[in-house]
Amino acid sequence: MTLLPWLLLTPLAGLLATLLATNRLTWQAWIILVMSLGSLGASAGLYMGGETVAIVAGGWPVPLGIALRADMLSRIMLVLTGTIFSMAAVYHLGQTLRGATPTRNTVYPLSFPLLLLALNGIFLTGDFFNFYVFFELVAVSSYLLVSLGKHAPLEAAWKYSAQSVLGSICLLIGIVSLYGKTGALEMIEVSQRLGEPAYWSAPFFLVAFLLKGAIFPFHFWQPDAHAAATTTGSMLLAGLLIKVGIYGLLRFWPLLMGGELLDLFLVLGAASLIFGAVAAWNQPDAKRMLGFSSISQLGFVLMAMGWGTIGALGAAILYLISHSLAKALLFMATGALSDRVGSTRFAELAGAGRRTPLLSAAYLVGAMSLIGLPPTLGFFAKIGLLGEGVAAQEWSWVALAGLGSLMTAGYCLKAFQQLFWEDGAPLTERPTPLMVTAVSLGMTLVMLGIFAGEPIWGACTAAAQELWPPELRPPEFPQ
Amino acid sequence: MSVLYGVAVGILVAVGIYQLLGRDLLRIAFGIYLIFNGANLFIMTAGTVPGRRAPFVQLGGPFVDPLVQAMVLTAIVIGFGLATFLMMLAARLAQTRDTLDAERMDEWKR
Repeated sequence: MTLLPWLLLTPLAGLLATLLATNRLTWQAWIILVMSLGSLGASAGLYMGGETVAIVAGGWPVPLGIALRADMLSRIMLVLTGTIFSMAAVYHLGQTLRGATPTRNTVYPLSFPLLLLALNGIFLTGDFFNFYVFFELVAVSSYLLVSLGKHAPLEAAWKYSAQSVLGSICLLIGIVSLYGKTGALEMIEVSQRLGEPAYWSAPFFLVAFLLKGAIFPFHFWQPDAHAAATTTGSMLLAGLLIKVGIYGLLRFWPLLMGGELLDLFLVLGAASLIFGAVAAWNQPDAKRMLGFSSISQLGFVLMAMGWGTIGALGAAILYLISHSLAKALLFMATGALSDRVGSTRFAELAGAGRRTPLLSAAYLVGAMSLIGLPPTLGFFAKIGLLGEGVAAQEWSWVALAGLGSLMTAGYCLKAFQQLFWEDGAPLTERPTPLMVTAVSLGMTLVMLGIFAGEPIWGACTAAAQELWPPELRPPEFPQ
Repeated sequence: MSVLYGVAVGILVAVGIYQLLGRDLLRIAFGIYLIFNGANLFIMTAGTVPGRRAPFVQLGGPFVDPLVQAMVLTAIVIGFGLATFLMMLAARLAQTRDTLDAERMDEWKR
């Protein structure tokens, strides 16, 4: 008996239980926490299993049944999903127990199990059309997180939904054009039947995933959506949702295009990196600043994909993980301040954190990980990334990445100074035990670099190796 | 037959994109829905072969690919749901902001 089905059954059970407990906010918060921990446990068990697990749902033969497959990258992403969800669930429970839920809307708690189900599904599926269905489910459940906050401007929700629907249409067209060409939907089978780079459908995939990942020319929805979402919503959006786009690129580009057109990622990544950093520097709003910072940070990941070696792909995956954890922590620290002050603007938050050493430590740790200072996980990610660039002798791109790192340091420290050092009315309320739990959990995870940096890096490199089946690699490709 | 499909897809997507370029939120929602239906029709062309029958066992004979029909059914439902959500958002915006003009809703922007 494999643990794999439990990753889908746990959120489904959670969804049912949350529905049954409608209007009992505390119960629902506990249910969400138990469900997240259950999913984390199942994914950890699957990861420890150490080998690719595959089942076909319902036992039908493959073109009818849907293949679920957990290879190394999937397992890493599933553990990450469980971790970030548990952090968000603890924060949500803390808010609920304080009587400060972001909205009384009865649909809002349902979006958590839905999103968990969709994310677990999307990382598990081995079938293109099933991927599309889960992609839509991810999108729909995140519309709820963005549009149901208490002060959420509906314009942000509109902007996000409309652009995201266009992205989904692109993905649908891409998948169907692949099916029309190959007559298969199972991912490996499609790539085997292709035999040549899929130039006609790759652009559709590219647009869909760049939109979901909010990379530079397609980023318009993202800062608004991050600012409009509730604190837990922002943690999930920044920690997991935009990663779905990058996951899609990592998963499908090698299968569909092999090593073709990788320079495109270098250009897009560098543009995203510099643009996001400049915009983040100029933001008067703490949450929008973090949103633009995500645009900038994912530029690093795309640049690593552009270098295209196995080591660089491994560094990209490691960077993805470290960015997820750090950004969730930063959003939690910012949200803990802004939920109490009632505004997300720096002008009104100035100095709000002067009397909250825990939150300021959390923000500093998160910022250190983004900048890439030891002993955080971000340090290993950045060393791996720049090291690969140097090995590939792409000096101008490495210089751009270095510039991006410096700018990251600039805007992170500026925000830290404004939130935690400036003169202003400091918060005097003591953090609740659950808040302490959530923040310390986040800090521990970001500091993982001290004792687990090397093993995690190794796991990411192993994932990168599986990503690109050897029979699909071009002969000149460094093995 | 497939030329007819191609022309129909082209018209749907072109009209949809034309609607998207406007400022009226409801028109944008309808434009997105039209593009979605263009995509659905495009899925149909992937599985339609002239001279084959709809996949009912009683009809017998060479069938068109039934998987495509299953996919397009899923896609239609998803598209319908998303269009409904977008129109509901537009209606809510119209109620609270007293306008459907996207230009006049940017005041909140920071």
